[in-house]
Amino acid sequence: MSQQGWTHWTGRAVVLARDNIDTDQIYPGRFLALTNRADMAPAFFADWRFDVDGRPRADSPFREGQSVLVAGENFGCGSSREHAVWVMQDFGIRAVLARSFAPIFRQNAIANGIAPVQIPADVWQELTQDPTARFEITVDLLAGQALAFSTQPLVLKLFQFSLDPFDVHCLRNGVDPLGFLLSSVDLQKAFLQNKSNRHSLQVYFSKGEST
Amino acid sequence: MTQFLRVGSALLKKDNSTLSRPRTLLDKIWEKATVVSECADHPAVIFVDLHVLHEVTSSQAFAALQKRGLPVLHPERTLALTDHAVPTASPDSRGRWPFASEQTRHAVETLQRNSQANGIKCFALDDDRQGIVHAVVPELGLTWPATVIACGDSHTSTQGAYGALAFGIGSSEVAAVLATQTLLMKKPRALRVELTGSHKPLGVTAKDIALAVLAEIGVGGAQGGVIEFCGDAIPLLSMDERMTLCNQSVEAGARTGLIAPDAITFADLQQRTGVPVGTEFAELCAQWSAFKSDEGAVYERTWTINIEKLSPRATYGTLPALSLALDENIPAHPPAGCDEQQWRAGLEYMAMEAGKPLRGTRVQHVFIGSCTNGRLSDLRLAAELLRGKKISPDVKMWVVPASRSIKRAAEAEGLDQVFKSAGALWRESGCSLCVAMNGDFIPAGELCVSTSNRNFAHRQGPLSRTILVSPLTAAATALTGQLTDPREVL
Repeated sequence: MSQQGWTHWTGRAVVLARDNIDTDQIYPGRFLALTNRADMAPAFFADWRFDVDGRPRADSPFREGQSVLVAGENFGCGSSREHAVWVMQDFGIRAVLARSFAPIFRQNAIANGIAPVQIPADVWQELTQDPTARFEITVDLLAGQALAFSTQPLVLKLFQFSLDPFDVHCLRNGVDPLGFLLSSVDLQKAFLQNKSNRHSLQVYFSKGEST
Repeated sequence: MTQFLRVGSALLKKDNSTLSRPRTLLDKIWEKATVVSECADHPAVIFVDLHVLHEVTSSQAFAALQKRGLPVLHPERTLALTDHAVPTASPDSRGRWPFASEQTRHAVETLQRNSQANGIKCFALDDDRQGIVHAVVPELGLTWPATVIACGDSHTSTQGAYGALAFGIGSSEVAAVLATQTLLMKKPRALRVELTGSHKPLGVTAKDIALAVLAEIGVGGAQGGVIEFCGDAIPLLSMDERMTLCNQSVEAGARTGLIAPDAITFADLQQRTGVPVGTEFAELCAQWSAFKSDEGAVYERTWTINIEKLSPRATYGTLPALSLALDENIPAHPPAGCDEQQWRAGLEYMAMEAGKPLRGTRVQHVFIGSCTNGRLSDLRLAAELLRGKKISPDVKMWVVPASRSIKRAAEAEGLDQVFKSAGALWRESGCSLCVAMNGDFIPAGELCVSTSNRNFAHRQGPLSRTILVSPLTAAATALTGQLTDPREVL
């Protein structure tokens, strides 16, 4: 949940030139029964990295040491499973650069110290033009800037991105929103005095339903 | 952190400037739920009236609370259910459930243990109220209009059918709700789908409408928004049908779907246990009636669909938005906004060809169930079509009621006998083949025609293939062994 904060990151990128990569790809459902975080790592893009017999796939885009993930539109769509972000973190990913993000994935990423960086169309073009390019990407959260660099072909692309101040605050200080919410719990008392906010399970159980 | 801790009384004041202009249903629920307003420094703090837990996304959240030494703030607003990991094969003669693995058993037992330790009610396998969260909560009458309902599952959107702002959250947020009963959220954008028409054509169900809506919006077209379904076709839809519609709204990228409560909603709630009786219920209905969009309320975008023009649909790719009417051929090119390369990869994965008909595709499995289409009315539709008939010997058909109470009701009507006589498997309630983590799965290369909600690659098992359809189309397909337009057998 809470972790080391960061403001700058430089790392090798894995470029997934696809839109709508869903959380079933990132963390297949059959691994969802795992409750121990330490056991989850093999699930990370399991069907992209391994064949049905568990052998490594030759066409897997993933390599050890990659720490920035690049993808297209609507990254992380589908299931709300935070497992997708946990295994991404365990793989070493610190930032996801995508054309756009599914809303729950975005929240989950920030809660785990992974920056969801939205990239403009021209940057996406540059990053996906040549599938043989190997990019190194620097993300500067405070400046709201990122730099993508590849030697062969030679590409040097600096671009701006915007993150909400609160999201930057969470990422740089390694906090999730829970701390903030705890500080506002007292404000609920007034809220709960309002008669229209009385919904709870009590009506159900007061009717003699067994507990 | 300190710069964000200035949560003063000034922030508590609701933004009154919004009162003068016409408001959407979302505006009204949002205002009611706001504990601290959104400002430049932080998102809004939203109160969660009801928090629902299941065994897959909650254990890490309980662990986080324990690590920080935090109690569960409102156990009386929290309900736990087991659905994702539970076996759908029946218990043995000694009442032991055939869990697929020690892991799935452990996941269920962990939820029971965490619930008990924190004073949270848990309806697990030993409780006859067990079932898929999004089916059980409305069944109990706990889905109240104008409330906020959160659960660590994206299809919490199902309950938007009752006019509740109901949405999925991640496990970190589950921890936040357990500890504070609140969420930090930016207000989602208001979107609208207007359904027009005075009747549903033959063979067209809420699922076909949902698939048509997704095809219209596209898979990410509603990203981060809340889709309000409205229009003169809404009164034609039962609560079950509305739930199917709202359920699938997340497949367009939305946080959730929403339908303003009406007489149909109130009549449904009145027969449930979780609401008060008599004048107290009448008072609530009067309050809830105000929760509808004002004339002239502004939406960021509106899509309009005439349901009279629809016919039964099925998906053909690996995205729920890629669907077509069963009498159409697979198009030669992807729809606007869909990446061509991914579209082709999806067709290849599905072993389908552009330009070819979808109808007639040979199938090995048919699944009727899930939070999308596992309710009693869905089972009735399918059973009516199968009554007195036999399914194709080439097809393995799974019928999995969404909840224990739906299963009992179906058995009381003899639907289980209809399915069994036809040659289908009648299973215990749970998520089953929709999430395929409980031991139920589709083998590599095989095709499942499914009433569930996602046709992503590998979703129902590694290299499994999925076609999303209505319960009617699923039943018609089971009869013939190939994807069939239900109008041919009705």
